[in-house]
Amino acid sequence: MIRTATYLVFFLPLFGWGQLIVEINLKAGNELVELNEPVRLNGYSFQLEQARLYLSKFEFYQNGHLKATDSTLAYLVDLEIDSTRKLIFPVVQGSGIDEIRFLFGIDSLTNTSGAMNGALDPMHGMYWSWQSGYINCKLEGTFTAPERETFQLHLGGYAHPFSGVQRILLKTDKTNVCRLDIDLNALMERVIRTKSELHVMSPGSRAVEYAQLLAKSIELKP
Amino acid sequence: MKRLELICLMVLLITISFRYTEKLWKKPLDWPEPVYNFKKNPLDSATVQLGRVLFYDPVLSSDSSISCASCHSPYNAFTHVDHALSHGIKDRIGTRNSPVLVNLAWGKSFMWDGAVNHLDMQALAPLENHVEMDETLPHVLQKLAKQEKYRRLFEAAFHSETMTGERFLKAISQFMLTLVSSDSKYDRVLRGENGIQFTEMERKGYALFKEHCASCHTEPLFTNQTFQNNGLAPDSILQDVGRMKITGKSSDSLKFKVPTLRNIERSAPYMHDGRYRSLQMVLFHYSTDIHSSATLAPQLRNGIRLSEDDKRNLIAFLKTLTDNTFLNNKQFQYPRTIK
Repeated sequence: MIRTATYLVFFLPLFGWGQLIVEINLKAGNELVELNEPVRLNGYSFQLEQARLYLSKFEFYQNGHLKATDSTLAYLVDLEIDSTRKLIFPVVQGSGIDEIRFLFGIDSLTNTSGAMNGALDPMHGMYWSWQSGYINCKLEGTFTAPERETFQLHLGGYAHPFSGVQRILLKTDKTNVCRLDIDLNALMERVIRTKSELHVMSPGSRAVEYAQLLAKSIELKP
Repeated sequence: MKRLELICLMVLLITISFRYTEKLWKKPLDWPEPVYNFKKNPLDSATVQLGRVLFYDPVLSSDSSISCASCHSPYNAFTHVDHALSHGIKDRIGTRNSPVLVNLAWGKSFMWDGAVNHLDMQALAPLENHVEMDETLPHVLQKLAKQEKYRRLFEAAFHSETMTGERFLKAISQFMLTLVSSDSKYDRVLRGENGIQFTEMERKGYALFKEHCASCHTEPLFTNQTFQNNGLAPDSILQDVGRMKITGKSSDSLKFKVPTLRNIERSAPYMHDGRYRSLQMVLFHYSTDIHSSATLAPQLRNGIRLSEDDKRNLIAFLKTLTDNTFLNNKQFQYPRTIK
């Protein structure tokens, strides 16, 4: 993947192609969230030990018209692996892309298409074995409010009525580098306040609700 | 010109690929089209062979004691024998009877509750189940990579020693796809082969079957692949709600996948929890022991009226579904020649 990115950086301009770099960050309000570092917010604190999520089916629009579709089906973003936090897309220079659309998670067609390779290979631990389906987002860690407790959120589900995949549409005025921020604040407040659903490991209404909270928090920043 | 040559070459390669697949897997005459998309995983002998070796290798389990074949023996139509519930490593007991593995290319879903949506992903379920193989896919691949035999088999199948989850799963799929049973006496009678006929008992049994059983156990697969509550009283220890576990719908409570009846003579015990050890017990259930509940299949509300003669005739017919060509096929058995 790194080698491919390098080729893109050096050779694409020769063919009139530029690149759009999207850097993905997990945030808690204004604070950057990193693994194993406590985050303080609203009288509690939490700490992530694992954060992995799928972003898939990127499309690039101008004035509502589809200009390009990314050929990579899905990206597995892993907070532990820096290289996965930067997505590089080849785009036509000066194409004036003003909107990016993608899926937060994996759609039902991909979920029912059998064994896949690359980021979608089941060996990455983002596929349920007891019941078919990709885990769209895996967040594990601890929080203190005031007692220390663990949480494990494996948010997935592709079938009605518990489809957890979220469609994201984001406006952009940049075509080179932008930041995709996913704010965990609303989700973590919900988890910590209720304390009743700290371990979500299967498709269901709670998984959908949590996925929606995350989807609403996604922003594209210059 | 070069472009045309390239297109011709591609067409030729695709044609050869389909013809090769056809040699390893052929749709029986008058059967429906398979559900499995062979274009995404075209069969070839090296990959089938890799899948076969993996299927019989206990290295897939965490203590190297249990292989797929431990619960899916070829002599029993690829299910186990003498156990109501399947058992895994360290004598851990599961909650369900292992299903037969037959005609899987037509499978729309897998497991008694349809938890698995694609044949390629089926092998993951037992592999990672705590009471079955209790392994992880990455660790299994690490173990395989240490064996020269598997490096050679992966190279032969994929022209690369690289072992990925996708390749591992697709290889096992390829072997399982070859497990086609379509050469029972029933099939030969329907094909009109060599003047083979049903006996009087079998003929009567077939008529009873079509009247009482075929709505769910639909020919030629002998399953319509739906989920049904067939009137089994819930087991108070297992507390298995069946399909409802997957869908969360109360309307799916106590529903389980309709199993195929092919090779049923050899695949005892019966039902999702293996509660019946003989076909006589199964027919006793359907005729006199239906447990009524909200989701009971409508066809079974009044049970199935069967005389003792009817039961004998039905069993005679069911035994015509035994496919000895399938059961004794050496290509499906333990691969003794591969070292």
